[in-house]
Amino acid sequence: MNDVSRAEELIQKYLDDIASAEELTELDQLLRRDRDAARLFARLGRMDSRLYGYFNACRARLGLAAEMAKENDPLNIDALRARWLWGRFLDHLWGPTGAILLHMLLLVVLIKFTMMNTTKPEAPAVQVVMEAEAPEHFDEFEKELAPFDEIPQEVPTVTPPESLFLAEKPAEADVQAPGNETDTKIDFAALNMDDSTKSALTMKGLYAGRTGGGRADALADYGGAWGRYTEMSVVRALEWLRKNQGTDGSWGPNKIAMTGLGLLTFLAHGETTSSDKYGQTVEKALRFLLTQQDEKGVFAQSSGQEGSDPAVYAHGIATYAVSEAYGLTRIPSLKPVMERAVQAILDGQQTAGGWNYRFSKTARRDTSVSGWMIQALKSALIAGAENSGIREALEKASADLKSAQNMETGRFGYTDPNTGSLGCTGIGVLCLQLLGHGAEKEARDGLQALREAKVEWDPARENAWPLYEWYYITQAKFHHGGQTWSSWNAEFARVYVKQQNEDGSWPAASKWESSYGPVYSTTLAALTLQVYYRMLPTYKPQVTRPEMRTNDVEIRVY
Amino acid sequence: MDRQQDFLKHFLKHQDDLRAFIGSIVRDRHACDDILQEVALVLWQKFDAYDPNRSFGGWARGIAANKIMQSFAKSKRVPVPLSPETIQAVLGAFDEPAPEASEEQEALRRCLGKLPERSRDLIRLRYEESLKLREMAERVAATLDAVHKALSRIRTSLRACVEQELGTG
Repeated sequence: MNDVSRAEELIQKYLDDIASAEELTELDQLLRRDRDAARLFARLGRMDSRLYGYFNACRARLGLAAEMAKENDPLNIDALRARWLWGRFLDHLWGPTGAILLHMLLLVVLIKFTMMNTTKPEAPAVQVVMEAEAPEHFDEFEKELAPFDEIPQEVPTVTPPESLFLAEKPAEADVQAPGNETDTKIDFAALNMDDSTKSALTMKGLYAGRTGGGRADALADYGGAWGRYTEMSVVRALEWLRKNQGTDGSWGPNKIAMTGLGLLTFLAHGETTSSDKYGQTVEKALRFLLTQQDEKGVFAQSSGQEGSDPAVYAHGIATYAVSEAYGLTRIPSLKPVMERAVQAILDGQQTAGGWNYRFSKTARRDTSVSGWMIQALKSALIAGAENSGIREALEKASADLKSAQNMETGRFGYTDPNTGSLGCTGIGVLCLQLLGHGAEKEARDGLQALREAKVEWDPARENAWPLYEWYYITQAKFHHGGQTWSSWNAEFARVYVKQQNEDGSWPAASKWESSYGPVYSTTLAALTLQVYYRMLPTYKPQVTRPEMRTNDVEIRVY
Repeated sequence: MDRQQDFLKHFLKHQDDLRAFIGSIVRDRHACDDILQEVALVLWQKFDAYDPNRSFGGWARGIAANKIMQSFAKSKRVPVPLSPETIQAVLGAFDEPAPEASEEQEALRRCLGKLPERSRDLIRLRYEESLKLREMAERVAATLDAVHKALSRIRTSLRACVEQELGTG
């Protein structure tokens, strides 16, 4: 019946208090003339009330009294208190109903009676001792994956956002004094955190999207139909990361690299050391990284990993994370840490502009390694690192990347043009975009080659690093925008959201990646899902709806 | 004493449903609680006139409907979005047989347990923290429309689940 489905729609809006005046009138008329609509209203109204009651069973009146008192409600406070006691008794009769309680209740009934008959109600003379309330606990039931709330298979139409989002209020400076392990020379507690987080500087420019309002805007602008689901995924991942952080602030098993990725994931969300919920997590991660920097400025694992191939990745990722952290928090003591790490990267660059394992200056250059070095340098540059030669280094790096591209296929190679892979193409394109060359032929050819990229989650597949690749490919396509972006977004966002584990982590997408552990897959997946707001797209015109804008945004790539 | 026990027995049995009825018309939670309190008192005061052959719930709801209209007339602070005739229609709907409140509450508890965590989070934001939709949208960085659609679907699912649990689906 058409009326009933329209009634359901209106009732749902009514329950969420978002029905417009016209809709209310329409609902009013519907309820009056259609019996079934009225029945539906009663059923949904009951459930709405039960839901509210479920969470507020014994607290409703307490909350009421407290809030009213806070807000200086014009109601007489004494009358309120009287009603409050009355209400609490009624509530408590659901629990133990000893005769004593009943007696007390009746006493109050009589007292209440007398009170209500006077013109000015007074607080009851009887002080009643209440039994301790048993808080409402959620029982642990077997959680079957319910058939409801599946991710819809067909893409719903996107409706423009209706409300003005308020920009996220900066958190109060809430840095705890350093604990016992003050080997690090960083004194977070002494810093003027207040200024830094309220400063528009930290969230302007490329990172402007990382505030609450910025994220909402970005998701609305670039998220397509999936923007509404991805953010909850991200938040759950943050929670999982927080819960699984080591006591020393690290994540593993490759502590430096994973902690770097973890830190980047929180920073991407705009979380800093003074965030309400994740301030501790961010701070502990930062502290850990700082303990891992050696006297040469390199973030190196002290446990015999030195000299082994993956170590250079750890340094790149950690430098990237620390630079971004400095960029967002402006903690002064992070600057020298960043600059020393940057110097190691600059010193390790080959003459032709590339990088290799162990910063070796042989003929072998490695696109994957370069990818992290470039991101680190770029991030440090934006943050204000004052090492000389960063820009030149980045220019040389661009040239080096271009030299690894295959003229015919457009793919970038792992080590040279003949070892082309989609992942390395993603790295190549993204880096060129970040370095200001996104409009040039090489990047465009690379994007062309990326059309073949597909999002396939296959934990049994060998010889593949899909999460790693998609991390880059997604960003590359994002910065390009247009149809390239929207069709990729529709694909990757859906798969990622669907593949997330119940606990907020992600499983590996291939056999080889599974050996890196859940932090690897979770951070890469979460970072990829934060693409919408992690960085403002450098090459598309801003989608402007001036009345919706919550942040002053000025994009400056350099 | 007997009379009072009798009253309490009736009242406590119908309290939840009464709150549901009032709450469906008076959306402001505090105002709803206030009105419930006032109605409780009136019911007690008029209990002598209550005919035991009649449904207590129906009698109570009728009084509640009057109280609601009175409150609205007295102070516009209690907004009543529905017209008097509509309130009558809603009264009629509430009069129809419905599952026992405690049974429904139990079923709801079980169904809530079956929800995926992200749906439970949304429900909690709305019904425990009592956030307005705009605040929720901010909190989860989604559009208001998206949050509303999600909540609607969850409510529909919960309703279906509860009905199934109670065998009334």
